[in-house]
Amino acid sequence: MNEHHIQSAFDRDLEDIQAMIMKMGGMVEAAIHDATRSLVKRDEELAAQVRAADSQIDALEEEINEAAARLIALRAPAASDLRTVLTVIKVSSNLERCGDYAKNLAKRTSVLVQMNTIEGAAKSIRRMAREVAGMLKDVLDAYVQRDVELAEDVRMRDHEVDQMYNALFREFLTHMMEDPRNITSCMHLHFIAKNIERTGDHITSIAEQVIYLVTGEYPEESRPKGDRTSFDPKVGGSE
Amino acid sequence: MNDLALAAKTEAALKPKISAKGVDVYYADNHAIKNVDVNILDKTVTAFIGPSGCGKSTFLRCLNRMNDTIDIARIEGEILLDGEDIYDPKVDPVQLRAKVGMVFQKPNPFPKSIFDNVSYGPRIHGMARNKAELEEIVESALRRAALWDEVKDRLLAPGTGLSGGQQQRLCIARAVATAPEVLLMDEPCSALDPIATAQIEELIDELRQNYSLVIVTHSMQQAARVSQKTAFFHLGNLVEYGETGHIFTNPEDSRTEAYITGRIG
Amino acid sequence: MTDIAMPGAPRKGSLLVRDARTARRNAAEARFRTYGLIAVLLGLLALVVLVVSIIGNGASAFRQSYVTVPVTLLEEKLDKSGTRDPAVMAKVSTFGYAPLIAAGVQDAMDAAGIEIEGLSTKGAGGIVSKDAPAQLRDFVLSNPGLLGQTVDFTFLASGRIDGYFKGRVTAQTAALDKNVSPEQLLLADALKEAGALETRFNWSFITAPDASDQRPEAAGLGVAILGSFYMMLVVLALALPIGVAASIYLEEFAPKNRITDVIEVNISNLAAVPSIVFGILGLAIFINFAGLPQSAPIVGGLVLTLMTLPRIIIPSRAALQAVPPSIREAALGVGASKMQTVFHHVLPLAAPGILTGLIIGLGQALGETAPLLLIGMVAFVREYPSPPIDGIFDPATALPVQIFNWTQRSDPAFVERASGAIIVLLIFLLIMNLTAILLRRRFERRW
Repeated sequence: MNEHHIQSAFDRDLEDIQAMIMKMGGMVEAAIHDATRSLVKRDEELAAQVRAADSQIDALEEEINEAAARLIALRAPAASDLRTVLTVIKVSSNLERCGDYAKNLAKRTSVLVQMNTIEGAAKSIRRMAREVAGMLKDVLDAYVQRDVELAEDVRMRDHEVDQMYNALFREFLTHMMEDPRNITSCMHLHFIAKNIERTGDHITSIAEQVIYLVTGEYPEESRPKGDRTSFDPKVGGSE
Repeated sequence: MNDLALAAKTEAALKPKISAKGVDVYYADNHAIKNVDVNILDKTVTAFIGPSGCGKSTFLRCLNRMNDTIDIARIEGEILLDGEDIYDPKVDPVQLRAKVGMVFQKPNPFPKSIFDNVSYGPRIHGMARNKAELEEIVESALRRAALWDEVKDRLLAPGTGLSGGQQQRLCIARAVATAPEVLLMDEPCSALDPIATAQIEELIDELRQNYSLVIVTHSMQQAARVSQKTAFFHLGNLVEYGETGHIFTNPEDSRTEAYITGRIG
Repeated sequence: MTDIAMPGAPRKGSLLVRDARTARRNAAEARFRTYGLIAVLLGLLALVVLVVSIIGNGASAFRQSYVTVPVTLLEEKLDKSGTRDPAVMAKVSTFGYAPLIAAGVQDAMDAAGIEIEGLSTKGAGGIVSKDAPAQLRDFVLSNPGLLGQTVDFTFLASGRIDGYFKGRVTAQTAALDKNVSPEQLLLADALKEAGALETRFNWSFITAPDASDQRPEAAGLGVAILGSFYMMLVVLALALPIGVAASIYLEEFAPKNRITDVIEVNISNLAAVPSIVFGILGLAIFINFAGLPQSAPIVGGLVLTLMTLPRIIIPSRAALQAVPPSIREAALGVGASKMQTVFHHVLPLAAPGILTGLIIGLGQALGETAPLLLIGMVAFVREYPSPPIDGIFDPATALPVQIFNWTQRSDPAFVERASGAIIVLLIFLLIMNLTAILLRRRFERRW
């Protein structure tokens, strides 16, 4: 994006729409951060705030989609401009999903507050959430700077999140086998972990969008898959 | 959008620059414009779109009485500019046209120098008392038309020697030089290449700060790019008039939808 | 009719093979080109024949034989009283001068040692133009002080002698001709040998007035050229403003209705009216009714104006029409009035076309003969008209009429004169058309 369009209004529109994406990214990042903190701190009030904030994210997504549709209708973007608009639409939908997962996490927090604590689980989840939030931050940076290398890096880091999830999965299994009273909270915690893992997948998808945006091609499917749980014959297909 | 802008917008919407009420135009027996009502706002680009022969150009030419030059044209109804009926017998079309400038489809500079082209309007309207003032007007008009930097060294060169896009900007400068309040543009880019077109469109966007612009265009994309308001004409009727973004994403009338999606010509 | 190619069916056959239809089409085109070429060549041939015959006949009119004669201005013949009183001297008519010239020729013969049997002194004097005595008399009356002296004069040779050097007259024809004798031809040869007779460029053909039937060698185009020039001035002064004003009004201002349609059609009709009709009109209105003088350039100019007007209006309107409407729209669009639009933008652009039409109209008027015959411009006029504006009321002739006049005279020397006059007329027309072309080239603008 070195050169400006002759029609400066086109530039303004493109900038506006991307600024909205950045704003949305920031909101999702905050939501993940706050939801995790509410889980660790068992802070019901914070959890309620996160749940309330999600409607803003949803509204923003709608706004972005409308703006993108308008931009396509009015400016007939081509080439890199077209990719920009297309990725904006996809990225906003990815971010919206991430926001939903954060909201879900906050919802489960409200339930978990009423139950026994599982030793170490919250911290593990927080580590995992931190990793994911870091990925989100990096992918947004990569998006702004059109940085393919950083995007590729984020894409690879999803592997680590997957492995964390695998570890947690086994940990929860152990807890549940030790004491059936833990099953309810472990199930909730497992869903939280799973959702964070899914958030990582969406972030990976955003990273792929960044690569597409810059190069015009999607990366080939050579990413290491860390989530082996669905292939474990003992556990059976989870998803 | 903050409240202030909203308030300003509402006020502008209440006080249109040009207001047409029940306008009918006949060319001999041909009923070219049928009962058109439209309010054109100040500091806004309004685009007229529609298939060929739908009357959009005819209606545009009613707004500065260019149709007066056609013997067989007859107009009924009322067109108000700032609340004054421009078809009042007391109105001299020459005075009106100084207020409502026009840019035509084909760049049509006079076969004179660039300076003479721009200074012609101010000169016949007696807008400058001396040569220095005239030069000032010419420079500011050329600057407004984003042409000054390209021609400042050759103001005495013939205007017809410029490129097509420059010629059209020269015509815009010529229209701007008479200090109009409204600028009418009749397919200003149809004879230009895409780059020149983009430059004119950018210019139109800048001119919006100071003028009310009405542009007739065959290119729906152009209407989408430059205008804030769009009016769709079909067979002499004003089918739909509204926010450009709205018209191009979610038109109300099925004929508008059919036209902008390329289903009727 | 089996192999009709249905629309939509692909065309078969190689592009490298020409089918019969194409071959026929190409042959037809080649034939047509040949016809066209033949037509053009025929036209060119006609033009060449015309030009060659005119130049062949007329070029010699610009050269004339002159005899140098030492004339002794005998006092006892020219001023018997010896008072040098011009009034008294003027009593001696040209008949008194002729013997002096004859004697002069005899002197020249003696000086050169020429002797020709059977040639009297009077006969020797016959080789000099009949115009010479008048020329001599004019000289003597304005220079009475030279009386008694011998002065060398260069006189025009008589038309027959001149014709002899131009091949028109031979010893055989001279024997049958009472105007010239074979002896005179011998004398002319001898004088030429001696250097007393020479043939050179003849300015007086262009400047001198017409001369009578007996003196073709002295006849010139001066009055005709002046007359034509005055008429063109009249035509220009009237037809330009009237024609341009009419065409501007009709083209730019007049409402399009039945009346203007009728006017338009009639202007075209007027252009097709035979020119002699305008002559009758001029005779009836300008001379009989208005009482303007006959043979005067003013009447000729008025008649030619009437004739030229439609021929100026039509191209002027075409020139105005050719100005693109976008220029008018542009001017109206910045708020110029109708008249400002026309005078600031349309007229300057149409000016080359209008001027071209005007010049071509003037050219046609310059070559027009028929109407002038009817208003008496065919008269024999020896007096130059006075300078304008008075001059346009003086009698004069016009170039084409002079040509017509000369072709009707009996002396064959006038054939040469008439052709020479045609050359002069053609040169004027050529200059005017060239001017028109140059104006068009110079001022035509692109838009």
